[in-house]
Amino acid sequence: MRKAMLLFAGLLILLIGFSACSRGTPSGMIEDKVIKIGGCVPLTGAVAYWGISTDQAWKDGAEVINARGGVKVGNKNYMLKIIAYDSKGVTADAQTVTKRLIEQDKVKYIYNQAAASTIGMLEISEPAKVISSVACWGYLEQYGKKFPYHFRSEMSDYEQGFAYMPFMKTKYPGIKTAAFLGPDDKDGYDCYYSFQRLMKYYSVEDLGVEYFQWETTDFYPLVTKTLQKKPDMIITSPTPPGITASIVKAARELGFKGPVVSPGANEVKTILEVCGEQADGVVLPVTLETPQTQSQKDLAERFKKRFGEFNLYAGNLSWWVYALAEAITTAGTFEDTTKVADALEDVVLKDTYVGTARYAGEGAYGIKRQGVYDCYTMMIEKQKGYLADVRFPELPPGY
Amino acid sequence: MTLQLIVQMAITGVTLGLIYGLIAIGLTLIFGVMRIIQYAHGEIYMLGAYFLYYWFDKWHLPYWAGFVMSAVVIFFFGAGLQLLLFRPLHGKDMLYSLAVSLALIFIISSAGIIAFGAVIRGISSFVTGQIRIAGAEWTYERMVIAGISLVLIIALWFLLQRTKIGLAMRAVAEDPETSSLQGINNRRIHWVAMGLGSALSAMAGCLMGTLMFIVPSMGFLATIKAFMIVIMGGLGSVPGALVGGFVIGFIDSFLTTLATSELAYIIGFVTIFVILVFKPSGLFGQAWE
Amino acid sequence: MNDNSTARLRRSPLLAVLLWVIGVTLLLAFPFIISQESYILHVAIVVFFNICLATSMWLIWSLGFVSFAHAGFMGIGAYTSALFLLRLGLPLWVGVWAGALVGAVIALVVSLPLMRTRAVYFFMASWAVGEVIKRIFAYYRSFFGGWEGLFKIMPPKLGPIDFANRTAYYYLAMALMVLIVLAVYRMNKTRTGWIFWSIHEAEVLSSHVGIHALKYKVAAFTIASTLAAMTGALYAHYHMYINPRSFDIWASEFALVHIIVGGLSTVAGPVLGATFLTIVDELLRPTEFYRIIIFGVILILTVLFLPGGLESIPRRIRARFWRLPDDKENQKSILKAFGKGRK
Repeated sequence: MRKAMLLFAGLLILLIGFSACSRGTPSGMIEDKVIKIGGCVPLTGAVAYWGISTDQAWKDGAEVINARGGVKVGNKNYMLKIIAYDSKGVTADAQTVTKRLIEQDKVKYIYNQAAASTIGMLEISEPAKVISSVACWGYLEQYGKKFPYHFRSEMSDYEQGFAYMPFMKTKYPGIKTAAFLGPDDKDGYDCYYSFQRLMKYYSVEDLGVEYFQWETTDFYPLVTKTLQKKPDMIITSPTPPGITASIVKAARELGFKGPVVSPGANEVKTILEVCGEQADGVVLPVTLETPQTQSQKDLAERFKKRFGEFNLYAGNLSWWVYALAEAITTAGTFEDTTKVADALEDVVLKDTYVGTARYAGEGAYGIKRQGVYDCYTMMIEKQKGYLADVRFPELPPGY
Repeated sequence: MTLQLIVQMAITGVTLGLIYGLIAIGLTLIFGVMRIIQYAHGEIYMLGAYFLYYWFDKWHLPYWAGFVMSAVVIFFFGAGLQLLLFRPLHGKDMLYSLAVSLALIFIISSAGIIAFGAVIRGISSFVTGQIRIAGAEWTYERMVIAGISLVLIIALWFLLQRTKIGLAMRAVAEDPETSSLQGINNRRIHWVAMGLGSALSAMAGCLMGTLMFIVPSMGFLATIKAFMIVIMGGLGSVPGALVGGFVIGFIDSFLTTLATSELAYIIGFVTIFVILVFKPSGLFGQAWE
Repeated sequence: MNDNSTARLRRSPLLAVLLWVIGVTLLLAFPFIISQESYILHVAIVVFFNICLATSMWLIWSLGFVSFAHAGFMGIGAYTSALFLLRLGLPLWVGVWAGALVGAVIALVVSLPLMRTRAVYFFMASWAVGEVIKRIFAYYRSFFGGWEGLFKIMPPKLGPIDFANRTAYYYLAMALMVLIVLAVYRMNKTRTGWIFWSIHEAEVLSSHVGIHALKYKVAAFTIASTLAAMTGALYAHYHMYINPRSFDIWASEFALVHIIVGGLSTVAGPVLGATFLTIVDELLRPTEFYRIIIFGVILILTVLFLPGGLESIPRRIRARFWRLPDDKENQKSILKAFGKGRK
């Protein structure tokens, strides 16, 4: 009985202590010149590369905006403040983080990465009218008109397809069949669905899909199976660069000579390091290792200085924060997120790391919430990456 | 179902089996001699891989020298861990060693992300080219790696069976009290075994890092495989680790190619469970009270 | 237990009762003390779930082994309850018992072959069971929802009370937690509990005294897994979304860490450990990667320097500050009483 009492006392003291400390946090502090933006990203786990890059993109953008005076709302200037937590890529944690951001830190804007993290957030952020700007390729049914505050700012492999497929058709005119490799989760399933639609649109025969587990340690078995179908081209998505590289290596060693396209890999040097001389013929959409314009070069330099290295993926996402800032200024408010959302869908940015960027998707999803931008497609040939194609996705009519 | 496919699956199965076996023997040694659970075995594997990466890809020193250096450095790292963290737990319930090694996983993998960054890297191959057998492909790289794994496994077996220090290790594994009565310095055997087990893990990491890619989170995948194999094969048994490696390697290879990767995983775990039900100490293992 | 303090409390039962009443009142009034601040209520609910998991795992530990299938059984309860709602339209009140039943049956079936293995082999075999359970949820996409998971697992209503309200769910989770902690505490205190510990300490010996170890091990495993399943059901209806990854080995491992840090001797251990570590985890969230490192450091420090866990702190403080009697005999016996708990 005594021990039980001890434990209750301990429990209560801890709970009360915790609630006491966190009541002292910023909700009471002076914050009238600050717009808070929350980050719910996987900083650890299988997709840490994507999560960390997303985080870097926002933090860098916020500092640049703050350095030039902040965001103009009405005739006042507001500084951006980023509050980011690790969602571990796990849905339950993403829920907790979102609750903390919205209820505790009182943010109205959240950025997110990867499907698992996103759906954990969505159930809480939408009813709370919190604008979310995410990279999420799966769960297409949790997107569209019923989710007006949910912006999928990263171009999914579906939209990317309308940029890389025309390129592939000119570079490899003989391609008639293609096989797909994807992770065994919702992201993979939905990307296969995108693949099917794209192949149909471009009259390439779909030879089927192989799903891999995230824990796979060797890709020979799976690639062996894929190559039995004798595809002209392999598409793998969404796969982080390491797994893409392993797939490419296995494919080449097993005798596949055709091109491998990987939306989502976004990193040239990893592929070169892992595959060596077998990296030839890898096509990486939305990947820019050689900055073209001055602002792109500046961005690359800045990232290298700030974070020690430049993750190309972070460059792809760097425009999101600027779009949001512009939307807030146009709307004239940051508290009325409905107005900001309306403004955001019409924002057009030129000269970003991904060229011209804007939102689209009225026909396909009922509402303009899908980011689309110039697709810099890099190819690896003779063990070097080079910029092979730049084009805005040739989206089908009625998109 | 062509001959080419069968041969390819078999070659892949053998290669995987040997590599997994290499990861597993380090663990089985640690288990057998010290009766502790080294959950962070995979993290050691990761550190070994990163060491070689820096040595070979960043500082451009010779590959094989780096391979050996990685083993040496990690040997001492492992021994250090044993002296510092595991020795105080000696004789206590295995739960404590599980807890400490779990904590090590947290610390090492997070420190890895901070130190090495999240970018996925790869150790460049040391040889390219391949041969073809009955239509199936086998690269020199895989051959060499499989060969090295086999050599190391046999070398360890030889060490344990035929050398004095191996005999001492087996004595401590079987009956610690009597062996110390016989004059064996148990403490020294402990850190040597831990160092050796860690060195083997590091070498496995170097080889896998060359074959695949390296990322700070790669450790846990290796840990899972290692545990699966060691427990199935029996703790402290080198032949058990090899057989276990082959079982898992063949299941991975054949089932993934013929069915799906999901099924391969499920069957893998079910196999282990079934083996343990019929042979509660694994295929060749010692009983553990 | 020290003679002095027990004597003191026996002398003033009023003090004991008073502490008890204050404790319970604070726990019940908690949501209103913090004026229903949502996020903190959420953390409290998570704490309750973690306490449930840790305590039920502790029950298994008291027999001397660790089950890594624990999270799998939580998953069984969660999926059963979720499917009862989504496919049959039956609310949590039915689902939690259905989940408990399914969990109990599967635990019983699995434990019989499982108990043939020992110690670390058991650990791996139970891990295998947990993995297979998780992957079966993932494999049968049409029935279980696969890796995509199940959505819209709505919380139930009871008359005018809608449990979608977080304060209401707080009390629900608290009720489950109290139920589980009391159940485990009682089991531990009775003769059954003593039998559990004797199996833990010396299984062979205890069988010589006529204790049929297998029967008790199976019983404990089944009961603990059932409790985990019930926790899973409440978990599902709170988060309203589940997928197989929520029930992987990490969930079992965290329960284990909670027990180790909290203490292994009494039921206070898992409760304190789960509470403390869940709160620490939340407080550390802003530190990004360092959080996991700090977690690991706390764990190592606890194992090396505080082997009795958090629950041993009062005992240690008392040992330090009370004067020991002068003669060596008494000193030794008192120190022995302090120094040793049950591991």
